[in-house]
Amino acid sequence: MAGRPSGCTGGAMGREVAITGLGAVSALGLGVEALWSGLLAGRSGLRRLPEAAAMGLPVTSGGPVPFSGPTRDVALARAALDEARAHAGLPPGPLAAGFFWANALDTFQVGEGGLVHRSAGQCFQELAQDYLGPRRMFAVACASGTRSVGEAFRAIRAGALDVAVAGGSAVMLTPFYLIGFAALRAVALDEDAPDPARACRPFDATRCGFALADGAGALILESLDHARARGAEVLAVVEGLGTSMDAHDLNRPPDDGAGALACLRACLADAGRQPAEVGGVNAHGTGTRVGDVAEAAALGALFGERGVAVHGVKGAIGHAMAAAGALEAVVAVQSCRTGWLPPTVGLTRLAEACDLDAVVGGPRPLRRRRVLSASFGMGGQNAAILVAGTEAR
Amino acid sequence: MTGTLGVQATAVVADLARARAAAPEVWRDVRRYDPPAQAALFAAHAALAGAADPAGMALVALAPCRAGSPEMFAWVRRIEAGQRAGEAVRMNPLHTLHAVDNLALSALSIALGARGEGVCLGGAPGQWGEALALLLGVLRAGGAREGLLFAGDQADAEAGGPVYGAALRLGPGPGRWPVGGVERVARAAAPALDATAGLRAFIAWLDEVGTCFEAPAEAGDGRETFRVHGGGHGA
Repeated sequence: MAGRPSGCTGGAMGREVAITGLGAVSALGLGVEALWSGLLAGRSGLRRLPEAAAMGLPVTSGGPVPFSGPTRDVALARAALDEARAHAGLPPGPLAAGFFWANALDTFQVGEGGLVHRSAGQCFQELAQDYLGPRRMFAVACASGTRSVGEAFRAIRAGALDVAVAGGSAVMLTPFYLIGFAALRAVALDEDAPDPARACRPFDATRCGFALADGAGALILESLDHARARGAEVLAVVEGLGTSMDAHDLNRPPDDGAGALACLRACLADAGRQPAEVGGVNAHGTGTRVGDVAEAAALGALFGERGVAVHGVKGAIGHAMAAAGALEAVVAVQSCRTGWLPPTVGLTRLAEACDLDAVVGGPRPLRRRRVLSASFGMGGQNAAILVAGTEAR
Repeated sequence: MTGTLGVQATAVVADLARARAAAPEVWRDVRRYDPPAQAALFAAHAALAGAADPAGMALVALAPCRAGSPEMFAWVRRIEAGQRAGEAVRMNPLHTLHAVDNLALSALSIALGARGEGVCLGGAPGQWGEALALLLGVLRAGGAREGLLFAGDQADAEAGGPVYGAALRLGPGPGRWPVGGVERVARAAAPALDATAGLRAFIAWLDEVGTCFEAPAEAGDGRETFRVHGGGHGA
């Protein structure tokens, strides 16, 4: 037996889990409103990175955020966390809640005083000190943010805790990662993407890789009963988590998207939902040649000829690695709240190999307010969550 | 599952050269990785010996507190030198992977063909206790019949300091000793920022065949440490 995808415990079991607060820092600006309004308007926050251009790097575009310096890892995470807690009506300071967070990778830069090695673990430790419950740091590459939100959901559903703060943050815009991911042929090189605002083109015929980004996304999750008891506004609910591993390659998924499909199926099984009940998919959509094809194959196999509306945000905010899934969860909640799927920035001509009902040109109404938000990590760890609006239930 | 869970096998790696000599077939697979990943994988393979269904096992990995390798840090310095000289550097992509926190988990899942439950927790102080609690939760929820917790770490990844690896295989039945649960214990001492402190506490527990093990405060995260209970404790 090669292991079964996780998430098959049955959605009807356990407590219902609400989302009551959101926070975001992205290339579209500070705050959830900047992210959401930018996405709806089809704006790209990707731009030329002056330092990278001055160094003559092969990649000079990315998704920067309004924080600078090697210690921005803690500052940008705190900004998203503070916004989410305020949104949920939770006071600053120590909180009786779990902390499920993804911090991405260590950062390595050389400054005036020598090597500046910022350990992701130490960043997590600084952030985690405000939380009295379990403090778990998730490290499954690009799937980390989605996994952290999903694991918080699991813990609350199982009754292990009432409230959790979840999400992820990442500092990726350093010379080491720009050069390193270029070496892995994962990012869009300038020679293939001369316009920085269109560097990342998810599912497009001309896609050539992703754009690295800094960012953070934070969500407050609590049991529905707990949220109602304290009078918190319920923004949406989480219905399921699915995970899987590709067991295929360190740097690329299988062409048929088998691991992704197993993850998506596990998520729906966990939620006790059918594909026809899903109104939209917030895709991983990195804009890589291989990854997008595998994801499209998985979505095609799951939703069949009937299809489903698919959109992605990395053409607008770049790929913030551990923060990516958390930011996408924030967007999924916004879609379920408002009834709109934002357009896929960067996509103008769908690749033949990506036969999807992609949202392009402008926002599309979300008829069934239930969004599948998926992340497929480098190395083959996959995670997906199902988010639903309160009126969808 | 509702029955007793117990430690079925453990492995500790404190000498990579010895591990390489003892398991050359593993070395062929892991030699391109950074030393913490190598140590984690040597320990994992050792603890898997005799397992009935390695591919069906739940895998929980711990990322190193300090990722990297001497080769990777050499690239960081060459990039900085290139920046000053106005020269772009093209690095070996293999060494990009040395900075990736889930490398050991990805490599093991590929080696085993494991496609089910798998997760890696990050390299923050005290995460070993959370990883053990998470694995127990997965097994109790029926996510897999057996599970493997494994990790590797190094105090100074740039200069090539001492490397440790450890792995623990949990499964049904008391095995070598039963494990009831993991309890967080308030111990407010400052955590040791030595990258291997948490892993060494984990190893100390593996060495202790008892009913209850409380990790020292410096192996926690600055607010709490962990107490691991033997069978019969439902925490």
